[in-house]
Order: sequence, then structure tokens, then C-alpha cells
Amino acid sequence: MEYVLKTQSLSKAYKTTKALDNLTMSVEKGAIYGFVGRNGAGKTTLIRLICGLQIPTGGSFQLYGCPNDSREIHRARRRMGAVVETPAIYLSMTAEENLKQQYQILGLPSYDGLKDLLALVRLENTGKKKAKDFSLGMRQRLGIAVALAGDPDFLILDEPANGLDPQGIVEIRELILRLNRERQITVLISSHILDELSRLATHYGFIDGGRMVRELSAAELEAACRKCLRLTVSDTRPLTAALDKMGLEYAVRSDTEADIYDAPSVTELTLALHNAGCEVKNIHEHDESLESYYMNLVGGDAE
Amino acid sequence: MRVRLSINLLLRAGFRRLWRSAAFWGAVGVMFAAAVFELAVSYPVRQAGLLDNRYMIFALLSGVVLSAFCSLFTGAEYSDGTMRNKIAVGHSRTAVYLSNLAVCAAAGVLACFGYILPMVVTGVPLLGPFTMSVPSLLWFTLCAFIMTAALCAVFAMIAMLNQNKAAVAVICIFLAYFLLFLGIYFNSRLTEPAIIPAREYIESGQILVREAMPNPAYVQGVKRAIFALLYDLPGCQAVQLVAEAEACPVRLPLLSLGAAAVSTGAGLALFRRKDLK
Repeated sequence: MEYVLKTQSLSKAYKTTKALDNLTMSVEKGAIYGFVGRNGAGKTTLIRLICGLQIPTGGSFQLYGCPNDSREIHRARRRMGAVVETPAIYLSMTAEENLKQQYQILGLPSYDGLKDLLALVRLENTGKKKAKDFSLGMRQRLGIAVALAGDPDFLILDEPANGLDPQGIVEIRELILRLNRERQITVLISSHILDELSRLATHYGFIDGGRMVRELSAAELEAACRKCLRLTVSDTRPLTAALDKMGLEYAVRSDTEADIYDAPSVTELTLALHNAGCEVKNIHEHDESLESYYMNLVGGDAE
Repeated sequence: MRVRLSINLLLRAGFRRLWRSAAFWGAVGVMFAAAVFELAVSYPVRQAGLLDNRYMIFALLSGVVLSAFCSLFTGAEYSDGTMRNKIAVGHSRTAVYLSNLAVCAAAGVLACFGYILPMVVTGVPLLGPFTMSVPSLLWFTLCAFIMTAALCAVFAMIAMLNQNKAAVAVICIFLAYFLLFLGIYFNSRLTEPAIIPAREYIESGQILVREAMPNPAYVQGVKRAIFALLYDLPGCQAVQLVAEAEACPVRLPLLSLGAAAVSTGAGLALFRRKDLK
């Protein structure tokens, strides 16, 4: 498995607070990695560390296999584009001037591809309008265009949907999906808008209090959030025997609790369990969303 | 496409931005307007040596104008967030700091030309020729440029280490005025004569003679040495440059270069460890 980013026990402490606490995570090449956590969980701090804006107080990370304390980390960062918090654009310049400025910073030999980049983020018709007169969505898209100027393999987006209207959110989502599918750009996207993230992410990392609570793929999350019948019974041993006999897919959660993923007839199921000597105490449909999964994971008082 | 990044790229990008910067053209405009004002008020009283005197004023003005320019130009990198773009794509902090300093210093010298050019081009026909020799004039101008660059180094350090653009502007402008007024104060104290000469005066119709006496306002000893040292610092130095324009001491540009080196060294050391947002 090839990883774009790996962190090992990464920590960052400020004077009185610990923003990141032994965080370990891995971002696979080609993934859209959804970095989920409440405000102040440490998402932006991690992004700042990766971008070199701040220096870790403990642990380490590797970008394209290059350790963060190596001299070569600057070279590895050239393969990366980032929008940290707010879009980093000169407000007194037009969209085209902003991109030309970034082309100069990157040392690109010509402005070839600049028009295509503007078209990609749908800002090709902004003409002489300065960025300070752009809507929030336009600024966000321009920020992404600036991040894409160096043709990066890895794009980091910090809360890209923040403050956007529904149409703006859809536009950013489509843009991210296009970049991932058409240009094979690996994306690390931090967000606390879980519904939006669930439409994009192929992998998730749940962070709380600066710690990684769980890291899993979208398939694993889907399995965890799969629609099922949740049964509370007197004993799961006769239950599993009966379910095996009926050929149903299930998962035992405890000595008295199990999830059944197929959609059996409840009458047939209860009769079979009765015959197997298993008392059914409770039965209900269970359908966990990403939101409720996250709430259960971090303790329920999440935003 | 992977390209080689270096400080040269940041310099090129920095000068490209400078050329489009309202703060830069504002600084040039203020210097130009000051030159036009000086010419306008001097024309009715034109006399030999007046052009020299008016020409030197740019050394006094440059610090104040550049304090505003450096804080706005560098502060925009933080307020617009574009400082992140440079570091996130792999430029070293040293390259970012030094390129910004170089652009600010160059802008400072260019802004001075906003004063010098109209003063020379229209000042000579309007107020008459310079009375200072050309080498003295060039030496004064060079010393003033070096002092301007040193002030830019101090303002750039403040702006690079503080991410609050408004606070930086207030600090830099206050510092520029403070140094200027401190220079004027030191000039007046250090030029006090040691002895008040004897003089005759008339009282009740009688001619009286007052003997020469020590000047109580004369600064001496350690205090004089401290005043003289501070008077040499960039900012304060502007007053000294103008006062001693015909023969600016070599120590003044050397001290300016020293101050620039110290502030850049300290600024770089702190900026490399600074947590950026």
C-alpha cells in the first residue's frame, strides 16, 4: 500500500493546551480522506504541521515517505497544494493575477494551463473583478485553483464548505470529485459537515481532543452503519445456531445482543428462536448514519 | 511539472506584486507630493543653498513613509493568508523572510526616488543649482539609502513576526516618529555648547559684561556617550545625516548596515521557529 502521508504519534502543544496528542494516521494514495472532528479537535493544527506552518512538539510525519525533519521535506511539499482555513489569495488582485502570482512563486516557466485552471474552478469569466469583490464560494474556488497551480498530487482542504451556500457546497464537492477521479489527486479534507463528507470520502479519520479515535475506510464505515435488525436476547448461543440454520448474515455484538443484516420475516425469526429456546427481549431496526456513528464514537456531545 | 524553487522565484514574485501594490505607489506618491510641496513653498524665497536643504528632507521623510508601506505590504501576506502559499509549496522560511526584506528595501529606495527625481529635475531650474559638491551629494544620498534600507529591515522584522496587520502598522509608524523626534532631541542636546560665551548686555543704561560660563544644558560624560550612540541609530540618524550632510561620517552607514544585520539575524531566528496561522 502506498501512502502519501503517515503520521506517528504526532503532537503539538501550545503554552497551555495540547492541540494534537500522539496522533497516528495514514492517507493512502488516491484516497479522499475525510478528517472528521469537532471545532478545536486538532484538524487545522494537523494541517498546519503538514504544510510547515507550525513545528511539531513531538512525534513525526512522513510526506511521500520523506520525514518531516529531513531537508528533503521542502521538495516533498512541492507535490502538495493546500487551502488552510481561509483561501490564501491576494484580495487586491483578479483571479488571473492571483494565479500568475502563484505561478511565479512556483517558478513555472510559462502561464500555460492558467486558463484551463480558471475554467476548472469556473472562474474564467471573472475578468477584471478583484478577489475582494468575489463571493465566498468564488474565493474558495480561487483558493483551490491557487493550490492546484503547481499540479500537485496531494491536495489538502481545510473546511472547504465553511460558510458556503448549498449551491457553493455542491460546486466544491463536484470539483473535489473531478480532481480525484480525473487527475488522481489524493485529497485530505477536514470537515465537521458529516453529511457532505459522506458523499465524498473513501477513507475517514475521526479525531477528538487531538487524538485519533478511529480510522477506517468508507466500506468499513458502511458496514458499521449498515441497516440491520438489532436483537436483544437471553443468550446469543441458541440465536447464532438458529440464524446459521436460517442462512442469515449476522454479527454478534455481545452475549445478549446481535445484528441481523438480511431482512428476515420477523414472525419466522421469532418462531425459530422460540423453538431454539432463545427468548427475544427486544427487537428494533437499526440504521446508523455517519453522524450518529461519530456521536457514539466521540461521546455524544459533539456539535 | 516539478521546477526548481529558490529565493529568486520569491524575489521575482515579490517584485511582481510590488509593481501592482497600492501601498507602494502610495508611498511613491507621498514622497512625490512632498517634493512638489517643498518646491512650491521654497520657490518664492529661492536663494543659494536652499535646494540642498530641501533635497535632504527625503532622509527625514523616508522612515515615516516606509513604516506604513512595510507594515501594509508585508501585513497583507498575513491578512490575505498568502504567506501560507509560499511555505506550503516548499519554500524555506529563510527564503521567504529574505525575499520579503529585499523587496521592502528596494521599495524604500525606489520611494526615495519619488522625492529625488522631481527635486532634481525641477528643483535646479526653479531654485538654482546645488551648492554642495557632487561627491558630497552622492555620498549623502548613499548614506540616506543605506539608512532607509536599515529601517526597512527593522520594519520588515516587526511585520514578519507579528501577524496582526493593524498592530504592526501602529507599532512601525509610532517607532518611525519616535526615532525621528528622538533624533531631533539628541541633535538639540548634543549641539549645546559646553561654554556659554561671555557677552555684553545693557541693564539700567549701564553696559554690563557677563563672563563665559559652563552651559548647564551641556550633556557630558556617560550620558553624552549614550546620547551620541543612540543618535547614530537609523531613524535618529536621519537628523544627523541632514545636519552633517556635507561630510557624513562613515560610521553612520556602517552602523545602519550593522543595525540591518542584527535585526535581520534576530528576525530570521525568530521567524524560523514561529508558529504561523
